[in-house]
Amino acid sequence: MNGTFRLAHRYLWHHRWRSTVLVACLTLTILLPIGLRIFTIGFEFRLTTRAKSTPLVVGAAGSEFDLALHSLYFRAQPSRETTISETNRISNSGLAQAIPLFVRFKAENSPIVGTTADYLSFRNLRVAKGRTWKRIGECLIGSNVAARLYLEPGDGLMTEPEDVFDLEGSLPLKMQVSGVLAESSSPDDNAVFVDMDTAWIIAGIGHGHASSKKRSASDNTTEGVDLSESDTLVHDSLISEYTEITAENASSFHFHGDRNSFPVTAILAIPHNEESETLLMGRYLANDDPAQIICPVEVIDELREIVVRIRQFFEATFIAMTCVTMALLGLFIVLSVQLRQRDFSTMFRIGCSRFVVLRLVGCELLILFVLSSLVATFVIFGLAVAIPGFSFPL
Amino acid sequence: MIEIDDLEFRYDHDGFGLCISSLRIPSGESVALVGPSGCGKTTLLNLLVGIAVPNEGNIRFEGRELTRLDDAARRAFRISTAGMVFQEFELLTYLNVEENILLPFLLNSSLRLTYETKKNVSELAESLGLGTLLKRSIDQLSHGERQRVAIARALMTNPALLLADEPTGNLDAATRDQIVNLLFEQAAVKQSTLFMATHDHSLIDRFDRVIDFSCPDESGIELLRNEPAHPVPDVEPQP
Repeated sequence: MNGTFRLAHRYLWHHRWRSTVLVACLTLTILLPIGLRIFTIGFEFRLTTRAKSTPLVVGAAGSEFDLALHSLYFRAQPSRETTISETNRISNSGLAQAIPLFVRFKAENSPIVGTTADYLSFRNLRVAKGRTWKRIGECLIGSNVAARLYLEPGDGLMTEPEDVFDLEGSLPLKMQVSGVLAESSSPDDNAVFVDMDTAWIIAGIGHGHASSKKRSASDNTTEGVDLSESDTLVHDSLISEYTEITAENASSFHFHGDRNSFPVTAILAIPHNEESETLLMGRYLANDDPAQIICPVEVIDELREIVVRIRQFFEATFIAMTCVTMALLGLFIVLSVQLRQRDFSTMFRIGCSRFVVLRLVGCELLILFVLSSLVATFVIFGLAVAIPGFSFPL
Repeated sequence: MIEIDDLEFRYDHDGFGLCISSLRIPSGESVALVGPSGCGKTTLLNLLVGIAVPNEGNIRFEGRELTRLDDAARRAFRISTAGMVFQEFELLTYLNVEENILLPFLLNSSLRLTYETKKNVSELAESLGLGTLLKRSIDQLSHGERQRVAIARALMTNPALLLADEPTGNLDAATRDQIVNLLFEQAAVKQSTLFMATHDHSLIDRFDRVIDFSCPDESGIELLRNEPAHPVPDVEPQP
């Protein structure tokens, strides 16, 4: 067997480019179905884990999928928002703890999540560096945000305008990073957390008699422009580019209007027990209720079924692709054996059995399959390390 | 001693064959097989090493009856007892010179590849003028060097029977003489019986015996061409 292996190895090495192409084809044939399965199983696992840890979500009536994806992953903006009064409605019912979420803006492509400190304890989020927010204008950032933007407690983080063409909109707010959360391997790692007041100030609902700042072109130093004479911030693109809330001006920020009407995009409802859950869900059965309540697990299960169906479709495609690859490989072997007929004839005349020829071809195939499997394994592990979404379920 | 008695062989596909009533070749003798292309020279070589199996009759080598051996035993006999040199060299281009010489050891587990074997390769290669070429690719060799590699491969198992099927057919005159000298030298060193099929009549004076396939009366070999076999008279070894 040693001699056969050596001959097979020498043949494959002599035709290394051809062997490389074969290994690449076999690797893809192995990698694609296994990779897809691992990816989708991991995706399903994370999808359901997050949903399972979130008993109920309340939001404005509309798409259940949007509300679930928005409240769990801070994606898919609901078409309508509800108000903070809905939070009070849940809390006052005595059936559940209510945690408001207001997710409309972004900072450096990370969603800004306006919420209360209860959210951090509900999701078991731990502050790894610095501290949680203590006043308006401060934010707590997820571990991936800190790593991506090289931010540390004390650094500034600018919000992005909701619409770059909205010249009358509120000025971006320069938030101060008060702390960095420990990694939780969840969407919270990619989010920026602020308290509800800060979130509403970013939305332009609250404002202060503050100094708007002008960013220096050469560095990050700022030049104060006193706008205290005005009751609201005046947007002059020539002199003011953003708002910053400092310890000095924080007290000047305030809100007008009925606080109960301030917007929230979703409310996490954590019932005290199963009975409370049932009762709470019963309160949102009315057709004309502007709010809806969803059980994220049920919604995500529907989504998961779609994922499973897509996976099954791809798996069927991969089976067909594998058959085609194997047929082509078979053709390749037949042609290769025909081309090497003279070599095999010489081997036979020297004294090897015809079985050795089969063993030699088998050994070559075995080497190719082993190499392809190794490459596929390395690629899968590499992807699992390199791509956060591509990881093993456990 | 090679002994052939009442041998009849026919190819299934075209009916061509050979008929030898009696042939005796003493060990260590050199035999030239001459005759036109397709006259059966290669067929006789194939019969002598068990690649082809006669329909009737016996072939004995040193008293061992080849015709009674099964396929595996014939292969074992071939790889351990016979060395073969071909006109087109038949070297594997994906192996280097050393590996080509060692090919019988890579193909058949009955031959043990040891440190001693590798030492023998070096010595044999040195004696054939291939000492510095062991790691070379076959593509980098001249025709003469390739045929020397083929001879080294044939000699590597110290064969008692050395068969060369038109080994000089593709070589120029100077290289041909070198190769023929080498074959005779090595056959003498290894005390092998040498069979060489050749078209080159200038070489036949060097052989102990010449079997001319175009003269059945002299050679004792009758060619069969879709006709019933007719045994030919015994051929006694030449003095």
